[in-house]
Amino acid sequence: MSWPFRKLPRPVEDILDISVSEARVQRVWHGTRARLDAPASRSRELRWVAAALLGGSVVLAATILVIHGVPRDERSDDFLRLSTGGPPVARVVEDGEPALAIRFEEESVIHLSPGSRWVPLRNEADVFESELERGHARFEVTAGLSRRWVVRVGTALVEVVGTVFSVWHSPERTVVEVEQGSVRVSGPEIEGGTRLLPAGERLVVQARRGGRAMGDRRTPFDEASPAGEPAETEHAGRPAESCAPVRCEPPPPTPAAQADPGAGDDDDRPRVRRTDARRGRAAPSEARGRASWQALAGAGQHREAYEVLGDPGISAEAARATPEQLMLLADIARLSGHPRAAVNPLERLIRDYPRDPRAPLAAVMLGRLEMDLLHRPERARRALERALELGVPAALREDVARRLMRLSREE
Amino acid sequence: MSSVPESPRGQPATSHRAPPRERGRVHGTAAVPSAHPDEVLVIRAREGERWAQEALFRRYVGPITALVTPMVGREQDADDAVQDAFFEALSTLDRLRDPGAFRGWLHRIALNRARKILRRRRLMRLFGYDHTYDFAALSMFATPETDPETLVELRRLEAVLARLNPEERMAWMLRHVNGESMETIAEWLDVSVATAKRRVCAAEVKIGAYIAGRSR
Repeated sequence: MSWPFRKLPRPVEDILDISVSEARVQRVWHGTRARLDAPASRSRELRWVAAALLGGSVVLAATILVIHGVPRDERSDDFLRLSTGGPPVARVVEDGEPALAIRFEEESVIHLSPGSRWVPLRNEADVFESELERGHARFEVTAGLSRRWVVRVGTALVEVVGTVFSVWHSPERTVVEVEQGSVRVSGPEIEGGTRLLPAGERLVVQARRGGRAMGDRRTPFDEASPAGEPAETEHAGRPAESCAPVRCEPPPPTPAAQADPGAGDDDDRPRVRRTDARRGRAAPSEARGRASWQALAGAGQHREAYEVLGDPGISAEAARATPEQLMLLADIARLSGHPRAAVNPLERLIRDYPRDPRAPLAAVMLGRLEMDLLHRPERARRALERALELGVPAALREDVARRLMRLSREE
Repeated sequence: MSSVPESPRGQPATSHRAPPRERGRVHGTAAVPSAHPDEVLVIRAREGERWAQEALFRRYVGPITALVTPMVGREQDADDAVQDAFFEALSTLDRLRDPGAFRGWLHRIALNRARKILRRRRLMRLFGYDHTYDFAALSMFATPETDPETLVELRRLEAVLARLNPEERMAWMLRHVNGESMETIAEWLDVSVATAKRRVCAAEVKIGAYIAGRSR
């Protein structure tokens, strides 16, 4: 058989330098010696334990295979599942019934308020399409996953990848309100056909007169509009030009909150506020503060953003931030000359959102910070190794490898 | 002239002293290499002398690690395989009939461990549970003088090696990466020379087809 390579020497080893560090040798030797020093009886005991564990695992694996079939085959049909395992089906929550939370395997949640009907339409590996036929639903779509969510509401189409937003739908109008991330809303009644809606904004789409009515019953939305305004008197019958984004401040009392079973019945305050607090969302003034540091950071004014937040502010914001905000917080700390403050948001991003595409980058960034600025080689090594586990982008792999080698040499 | 000692399987063993090529140089070490031949060290180690165990370890840890690391592609897995191999070899020295055959015996144990790791990983990949990549692949060890074209070929080689089954991959690597003889490969992989040749041949055909396909 001829050698299929033009440049590669034979043996290939001639162009390789596979040297072994003393630290690595020591590590292996310590491990070997510890095992050699272990009493023989203990080894035998461990062997029995290992055999028993192995037997147990084989039985367990066989049971799982019998119950669920071969995992690979199952994964090839990769539709979105409920947290209980099955596929999602249409759900109706009648008036007077408690709100319903539909939880998915990927940790996304749909909160369905009383008087609502939600129907899944298309469930595939890359897209999950559903329709809110009437009422109100709050969608918490986990960020960092490849599946696109499409929600049909009346004539509007809401498309997201990872965000939190609410939709209301009644025969008269459709409201889309975004709490985190951004969504794209499109439809014939939207000016320009499509609109990108960022966090904190709401879009109201009025139905055309004689237009398609998705439901013929009144819903909680009909009694209390999301903006707290008399919906029918001010907007009813208005054509498409009424769909300009509206700042949603303060947050509206949503039917979802009213129907929240955990809210209790002895409190007259708008329940949406209590729901928000329980979920760790900010009060209006806090939201303004948060918006200001985000605006500053977005404009590249990291020093000013750091002055607004300070070290404690970064830690506090990191506790409730989205992956995108965590990266922003890390940038604020890093680029304002406070690398130590960047550690918390980066670690939180790696720990809490390992499936987010930003997680490997965060790990690499953390490794570099620890290595170059904070001079903590052990922590740097851990961060870089974690980055490799999470899947470092090809462009950064060599840098990570070089750094790990350097750390290994310095050990 | 002393006769060539035989391995436990009765096959001729390769050199019993230092490895033929300096593979797996240990840098940053202050340890002085032992002057004793393997036979002496094995006998002493059997008698419970810790220094002899350590001397055997020191003598072979570099070459074995350098052999196993690109084979399994990950340092952590390679270290596990090397540690397992030394533990098994040093704790069962009594079973080694010919103390001079220590080198071949140790290589056989280490490569057996490496094969298990590769098989396990292949199985995990088959079921979709392994999404990691080989961090300690061949191209990571290319010398700085290696020109880019050679590096590209090395990466192509890595890609095709990842598709081979563990037995063919190991046989081919021993033959063409490490430049070992067919007899040595057979001994280390614990198979007959014919089987070793067949595996190397099968791997060569697959690699040739892949490389030809890529170049077209």
